[in-house]
Amino acid sequence: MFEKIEKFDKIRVWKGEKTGWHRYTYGIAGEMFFRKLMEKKFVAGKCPECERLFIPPRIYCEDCFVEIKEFVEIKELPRVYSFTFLFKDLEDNLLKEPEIVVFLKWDNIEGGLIHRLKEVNIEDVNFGLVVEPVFKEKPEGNINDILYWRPKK
Amino acid sequence: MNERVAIIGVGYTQLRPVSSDVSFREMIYEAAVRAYEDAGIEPRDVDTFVAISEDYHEGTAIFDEYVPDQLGAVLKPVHTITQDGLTALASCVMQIKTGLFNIAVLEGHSKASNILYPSHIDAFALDPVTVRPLGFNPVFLAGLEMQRFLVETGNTEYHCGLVVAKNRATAIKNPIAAYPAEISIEDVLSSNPVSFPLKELDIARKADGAFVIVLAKESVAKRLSPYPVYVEGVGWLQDTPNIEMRDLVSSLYLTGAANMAYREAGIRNPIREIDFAEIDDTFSYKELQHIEFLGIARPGESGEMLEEGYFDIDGEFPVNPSGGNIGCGYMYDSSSLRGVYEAVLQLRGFAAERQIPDVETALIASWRGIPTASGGVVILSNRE
Ligand SMILES: [Zn+2]
Repeated sequence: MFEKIEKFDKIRVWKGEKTGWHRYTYGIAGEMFFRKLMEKKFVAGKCPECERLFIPPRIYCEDCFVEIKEFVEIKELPRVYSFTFLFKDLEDNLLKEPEIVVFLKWDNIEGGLIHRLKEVNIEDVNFGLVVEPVFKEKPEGNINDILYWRPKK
Repeated sequence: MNERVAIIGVGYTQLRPVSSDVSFREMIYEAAVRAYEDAGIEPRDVDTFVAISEDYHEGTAIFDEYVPDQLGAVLKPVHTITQDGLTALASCVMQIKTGLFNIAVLEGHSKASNILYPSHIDAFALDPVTVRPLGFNPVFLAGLEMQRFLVETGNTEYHCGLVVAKNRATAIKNPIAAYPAEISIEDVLSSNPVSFPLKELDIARKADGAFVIVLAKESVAKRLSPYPVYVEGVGWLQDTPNIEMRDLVSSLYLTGAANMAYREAGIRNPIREIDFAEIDDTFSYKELQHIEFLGIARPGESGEMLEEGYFDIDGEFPVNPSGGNIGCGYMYDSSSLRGVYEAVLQLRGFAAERQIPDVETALIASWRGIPTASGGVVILSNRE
């Protein structure tokens, strides 16, 4: 039982592919966030119960499970909470140059943003580094309106 | 129904980096035949079937429709869980506990080698608005977490290398393992960076294979099996899907799932009351993180304990006597079924060369992989 094929040149496969044709609705909180991002501003949602701020904003607090209706502009800059040097692209090939992927957090705000860091010496990348966004000239209302982040000048 | 639920049969296939000679159906069939033979049953004796799959890993939509035939489950109650293997095992236990079913069969497999661009599939799981448009290979998430976890806990890249060396070497004595090897910590530390500090050898390579597990209520189990292994506790839960809301240090999904399983099993002091564990090690640092958040080591102490040999197969608390995902191969959501399979062999005393002496209680802990923060815990024992 379970004898295996020994002549591997006889093996056949059929290759198939699937493509996603989807659109993703931003929703109430998403619209709020990305419309402000087009004005080069960041907004957080404020939970009426625990009074904490959240980025990216949502219309509910995932801890208190109450509705969030208040959105507050954040003027401070975030800090690097964690970072990694990414060497592979989506097809697992080596990138020409590694990307510095960062997880940014604002002081006293829950959540944060995943993004890329540039214009920086590798030795200077560390936890707590304060960074500023570099925006696209003509924002389109998506996360790539921020071209990248760099250390605060 | 107050009867316990027992595992009475296990079936496997050899785990392999590629399996271009057999289809996924043929792999499942092979594991099913072995499991039914081991349990001394025929598929007609089975009351309910639970299978694990994700459409995107299988490459077909509505994959649950592809389940019945190779299991002997045509025209039988079958359902698929798009979740981790231990959650599916919990589902079998719950179905038997309703009193409506005597025998349940659990199936999980991986045909990972047929996925041409696995990172694209992982990327498709990232938040489509806030993260996916950045176009990063999703392995970045393991890099970010490893960085923060190591700095905050004081565990080191050296300890991660030690996890890899231990699990690859342990796998040498496991005949079904896909990646047994004698490698040094130096080999791991000098392997190519993937998402630094994560390196090539820190990552479990994928494997193809299948597992089928037969469960029954205690009275039926005792009649059918000379060595039933009892499910004493199960737990499963999901942390927030929002990456930004996580601290990238803790694995609270396992703390929660473990507390649920420990409570059911009546375990108060896991390190004393459990004899060994099969714990998710999809990335080397994950073994350390999971050990700490399961309550087996205090925060920041897993690395040192590992260095002292505490988690070796002949140590005080063996972790991954099978060789883990790093030694055996990563099988997506079915990886944890390899842990169950290993625990059953150990608790029956059938683990041959790698048998841990005098074991009564085992812990299996799973993680669903990138980009999730979900996991499960199962406690098994051979105590009558
Ligand atoms: Zn709140």
